[in-house]
Amino acid sequence: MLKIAKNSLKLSANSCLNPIRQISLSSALNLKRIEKTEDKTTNTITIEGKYIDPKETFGTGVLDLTGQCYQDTDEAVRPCAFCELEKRDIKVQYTDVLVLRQFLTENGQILPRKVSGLCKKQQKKLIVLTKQAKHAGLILNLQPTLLDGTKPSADHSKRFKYLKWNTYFDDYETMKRNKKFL
Amino acid sequence: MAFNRVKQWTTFARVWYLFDAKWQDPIISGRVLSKYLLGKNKPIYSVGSDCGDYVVVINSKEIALKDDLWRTYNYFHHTGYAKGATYTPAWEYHENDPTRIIKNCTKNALPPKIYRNSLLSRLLVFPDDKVPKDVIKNITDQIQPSMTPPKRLTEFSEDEIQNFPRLFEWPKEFIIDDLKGENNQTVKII
Amino acid sequence: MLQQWHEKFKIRSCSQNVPTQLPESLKLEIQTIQSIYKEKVDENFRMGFYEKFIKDGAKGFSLRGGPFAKWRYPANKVIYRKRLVAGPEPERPRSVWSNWNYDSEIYAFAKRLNENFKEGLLRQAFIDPSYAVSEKSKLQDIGLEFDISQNNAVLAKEGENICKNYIRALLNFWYPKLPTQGVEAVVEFLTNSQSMAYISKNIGIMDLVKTQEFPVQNETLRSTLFAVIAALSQSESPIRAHLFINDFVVTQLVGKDINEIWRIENPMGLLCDELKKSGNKALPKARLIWSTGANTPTSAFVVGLYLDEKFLSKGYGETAEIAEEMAARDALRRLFGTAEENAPLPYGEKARKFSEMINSIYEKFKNSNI
Repeated sequence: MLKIAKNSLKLSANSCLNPIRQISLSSALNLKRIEKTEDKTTNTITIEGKYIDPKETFGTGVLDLTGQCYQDTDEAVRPCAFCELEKRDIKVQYTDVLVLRQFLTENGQILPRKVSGLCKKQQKKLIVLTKQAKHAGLILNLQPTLLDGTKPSADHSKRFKYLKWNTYFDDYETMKRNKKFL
Repeated sequence: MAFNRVKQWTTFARVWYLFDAKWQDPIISGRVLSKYLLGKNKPIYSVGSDCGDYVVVINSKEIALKDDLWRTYNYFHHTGYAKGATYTPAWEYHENDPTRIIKNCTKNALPPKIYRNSLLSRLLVFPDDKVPKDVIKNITDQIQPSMTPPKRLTEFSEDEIQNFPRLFEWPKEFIIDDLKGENNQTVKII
Repeated sequence: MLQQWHEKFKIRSCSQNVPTQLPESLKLEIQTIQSIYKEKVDENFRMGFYEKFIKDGAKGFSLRGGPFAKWRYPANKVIYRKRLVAGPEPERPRSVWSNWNYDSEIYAFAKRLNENFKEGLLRQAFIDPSYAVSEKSKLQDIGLEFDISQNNAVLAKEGENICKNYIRALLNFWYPKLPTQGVEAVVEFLTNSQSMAYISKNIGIMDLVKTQEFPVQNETLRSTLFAVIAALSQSESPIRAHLFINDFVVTQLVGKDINEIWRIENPMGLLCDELKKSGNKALPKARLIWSTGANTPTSAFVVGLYLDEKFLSKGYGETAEIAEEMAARDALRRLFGTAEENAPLPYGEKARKFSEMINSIYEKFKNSNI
């Protein structure tokens, strides 16, 4: 699915939907992390926002949906990723695990809209899709840690009673049409 | 010796098909398998003709039911005596015999006649992909599954996950420590 | 006792085959039935069963007691037993009947076929040599003379040559690639006593032929048919005889496969020889194309033959060996031009167009063989 997306996106790079471009002096791909350091000799505590290289955490390939680097733009201008895909006739489903995984933390929590930049409608969809994927046992390695500090096993065959067998769902759009939700 | 004895040998031969039931709905696949058992895929088919094929089903343990049916669907049985009704949920039914649901669904899809049992005797169901060699030698063709099985996240390699194109970029002025869990656990970003 | 019964019933046709002695069990049965129902049976059969039926019609049966009369069952039983003992009515030649006219029959025979025979030749064609010998001895006793040479022996030989050569020419014209062995096999099939007798029976030669033996043997029927063909070629023209053969003899191939008539015992060896003759150095290779149920009794294999990595033919069978043999047969069919896809032989008016071309080939055969 995403191979097709890549090709279609390349074609649409010229026809920019959002032609705003801002000049930035700081390095383009950086993230902040607050770090606290104590110097006992001087009794000073320094708290600073350090920049992290995102390539270490995210990897290299970034899908350019609009034909511009929207890292530099404001949050309000940033486009919704799902909506952009829908314009190209690509509808994300619960089986597209590699897509869903980007919007989740390691504990399986959904990232806020501030971070992911989804619109309200698509955030609703994302919630349903993650629920379905969890019920079907497709993303079992993204689960919260237990109080022991251990993680529950990712083996689907050891799940509770009816959850250990495979289940499937209809497309999100057909379920919505039939007014059926998990 | 008649030299034209084997003229129509392949039209009347019973063909052996393989069907992979991994992530397949048994109700939908039962309708498909019943056509092959009856011989409706052949141009020579008529109601009285006995031209059905053999079907070997593998991975019947990994069939998939829709939505919440494993929990909600019940198989009913009555002993005939008072208070003899039993309701076994589908997940328990499948746990006892993983070949039973797909057999039952094909049985329901076949026409209710006397020869239904003889047609069902040509349906060989195996829970795993461990099939005896004598059966494998007979197989020639494959029935195309109706649904494509999805892939779990654990089945992808790390290179595949890392090289997959990302859909959004994180905002620059975002503080990562804000993403803390309820129990004050540290949150790793992947 | 049984003879007495016969006189009563007057079943003449049965009287020839009645055995002199009956088995005792049957005798006892008849005696007991007779003793019990003597009066009633006698009353009904005194006059004679058939005579009574002819005289009174259906009334004769329903004279007494209605359809379920008590005497009917034993009476019918006796009649049934007698019929079993007597056996079926024997076959007799048509000439025994008083309304038989040989001259008119021969005239009708020629008109039925729509041919103009010379009458003397046609009469000679129907006389078997065995009949001529016996007839002469009969007539000598009276003091008359009979010409022995007036029989169909010479005509039959001539007719056989015409028939065989014409079929050879026809097969050579339609199947030029078919080897001589195959042609000879088809010629033998068409001119053997069984198929020739079948034709002559249906034309009406069986009643017209003059022989001592009865029923007429297949070989005499065969020779007379040859003689009729020779008589036709002499009396009218050889082309007319060829059309006769085309219409009556060659039509026996309808619905039959030439490849089944000619039995090849080692098809793979013959195929290799044929390919060598045509200049191919490589031998054909067999490869398994498709199979189902290899371990079951209802198995099916498809084997293809390839020559220099090009498809030759394919065959089917329950084992790979049989399929390979059938593939070789299929390849031979395609080589000889006798495959199933080819059009069947033309008959009737469609075949008339090619008669000149076939006749030209026929003359070559005629000169070479004789």
